[in-house]
Amino acid sequence: MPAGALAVRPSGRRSGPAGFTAAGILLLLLVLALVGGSFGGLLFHAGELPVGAVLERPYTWSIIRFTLWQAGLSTLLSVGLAIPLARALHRRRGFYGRRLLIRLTSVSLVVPTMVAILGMVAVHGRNGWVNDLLAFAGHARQDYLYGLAGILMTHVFFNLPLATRLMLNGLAEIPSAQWKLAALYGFRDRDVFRLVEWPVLRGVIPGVAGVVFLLCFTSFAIVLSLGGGPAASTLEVAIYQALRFEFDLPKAAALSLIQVLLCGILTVLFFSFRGAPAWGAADAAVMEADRHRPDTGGLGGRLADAAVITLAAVYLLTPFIAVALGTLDGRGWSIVTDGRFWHALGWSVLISLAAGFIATASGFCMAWLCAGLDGSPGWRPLRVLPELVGALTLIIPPLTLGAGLFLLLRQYTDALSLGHFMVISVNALFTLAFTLRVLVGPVTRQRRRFENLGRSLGMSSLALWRLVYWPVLKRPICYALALATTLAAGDMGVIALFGTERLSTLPLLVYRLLGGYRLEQAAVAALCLCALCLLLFWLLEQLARLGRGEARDA
Amino acid sequence: MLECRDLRYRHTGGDHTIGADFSLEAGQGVALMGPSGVGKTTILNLIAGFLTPQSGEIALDGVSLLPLAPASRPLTYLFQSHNLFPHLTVWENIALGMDPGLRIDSAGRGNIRTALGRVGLDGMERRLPTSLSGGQQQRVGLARCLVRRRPVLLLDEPFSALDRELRDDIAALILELQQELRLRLVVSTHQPDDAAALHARIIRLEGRPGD
Repeated sequence: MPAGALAVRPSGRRSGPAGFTAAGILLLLLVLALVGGSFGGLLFHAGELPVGAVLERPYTWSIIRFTLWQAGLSTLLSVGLAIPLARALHRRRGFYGRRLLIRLTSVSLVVPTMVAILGMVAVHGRNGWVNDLLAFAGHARQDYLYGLAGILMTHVFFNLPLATRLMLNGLAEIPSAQWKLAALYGFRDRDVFRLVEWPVLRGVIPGVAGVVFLLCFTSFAIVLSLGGGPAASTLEVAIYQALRFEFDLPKAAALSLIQVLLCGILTVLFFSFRGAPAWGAADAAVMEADRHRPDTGGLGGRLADAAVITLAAVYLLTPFIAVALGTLDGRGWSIVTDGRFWHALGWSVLISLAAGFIATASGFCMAWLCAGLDGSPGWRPLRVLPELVGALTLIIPPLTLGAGLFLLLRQYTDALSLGHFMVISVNALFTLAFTLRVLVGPVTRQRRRFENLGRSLGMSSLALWRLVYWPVLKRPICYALALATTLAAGDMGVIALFGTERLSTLPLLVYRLLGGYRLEQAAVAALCLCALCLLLFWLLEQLARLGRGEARDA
Repeated sequence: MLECRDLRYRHTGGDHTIGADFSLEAGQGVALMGPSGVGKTTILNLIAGFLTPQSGEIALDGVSLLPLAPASRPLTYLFQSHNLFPHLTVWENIALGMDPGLRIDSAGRGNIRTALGRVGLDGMERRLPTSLSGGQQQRVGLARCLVRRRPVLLLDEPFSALDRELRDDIAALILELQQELRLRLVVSTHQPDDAAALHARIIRLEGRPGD
């Protein structure tokens, strides 16, 4: 027996791939540098024109007012409509298409914004379905999709499903015994709402409203496409216009600082009292609504629920159908002979994969870092890292971050020539908030479970990774990768800022085609974008099948 | 007399039929016993009306309960857990047993006060369930049963969360209520001691695979 075979293998204080911890720290510093650099760029330029001077312009105030006003109305509508919809979906268990509709509420987050906007135009635009119906009935066509109405309609299209889903998650947590009590004591419809549902919803609604408000407050692509002029423009759009059309850099910087300030106040306001609501709840629990719910009878309730569900389904599904049907028009397919289409497709694939991989790798390293800090009390404050990064992305929206980086870089070089790096980094940072959320839980659990065992067996870092961590973590890792890549592929924020003739993606192409009223071609490009997202999501999730057999995350 | 005649129930996709056949007079109790999974709680759910048996009859004094909705059945059900709404006060939780809209007249208020005294929770009206011990929560559930004055009381593992001493206290309280209201008790449990503490006749349930 060779000497030393029995010797304990020297290992660090913690076994396992220690490199991840170091990488986690490094990446965290990188994120802070990115945000700090962007902020520095803003401050530097805002110095030329004091924020106070910008605030004195009536134009600035009208934009701030409109930004808040549309976000408030969008929140009110989305959350208000989500209450009856969530109730109806929860208590009608048997109808055909329920699973599809509920699944739809959870994918609304990853639907590319431009696809939805195009769908809304195809249904509600001047030559859309609704106007076709009006014209058929002999009425004049109405231009109701542009301006505030269109912005609200599209915000509801995105946020109604989100709010509904978060409320459904809440309703699914009501213990079965409460429904049995309600049945035993003969609760009527209003008693059920007052005594069983409302107490749960009351707990969920502030968080939901906070998220929806912030999403609408920082809305960019929707307002850019459907708004217009200072009368219907958000701060994000104003920043974009100041940078790309007016070349008024100090103004862009000042508006960005105002944006960051307001977002910071709102984030603290909304989430200091309660945490942000959990996104991914158990699908199964939501699908399997409680069969002991007593208030399913009554003709009036039945009709009302049927109406709510039908209206919501029509409102949420028609835009997708309209985009799909729009591609049947042969004229649109001429786009595939256009070089710009392939150019955009290529960049979309490259940018989304790069951003997705970076976000997942960084998310994993930071999750690893978090899990390692679990044991050392001195570092406990850093355990809120995932929330911190999440909050950061809420406080500094993508376009604002991009604007800061744009201003920073242009002191040294042509900022647009580095567009692809900027678009990739900003997208990676924003999807990092999602990958961290997905990965922190599993990584922490598995590290706690196997770390000491691995150490006691003297397994090498590589063996530990190959035999233990990858098999149990590959599912969440691949899911995070699929999610991040899909989100980045659908992004229409920073790309607008850095897009040029030489750098464009499918969402930007859809936006440009829409702006040129080439709806058939836009529909084909949007369909390809959807297909790309689905394909990327499916392929990347399949990566989990590589290597050793399935291992369950207990 | 409460009768469960030749009850048969099989869960959708289940691999065995759950069955029971027993009857009991006013003031008597039965304890459904057997290993977990044999269907003790299922029998209680059948009596309460949350499930519908494939065959058999449930009747009180000759009147079938099967056509009745849960709320119309003459019974009170004490669940293993989650008996109380966590966001409602003790008083409101008890009052729910009288009126689901919490509209209680002065006579009702008197009844609630008396019930609170009977279960030893004087002065706890305004408390929330989360601030009560497990035993106190069970007492609130029993107070609700008192104000409902229904002739059948279903108890699902009533002592599973309590230690021995508390069990004897609560059992004594249940027996008092049983005497006073001439209750018919149906208890599910896997402890013979529980059945003894409630002076309940033991009924053994056995799974019948493939039946």
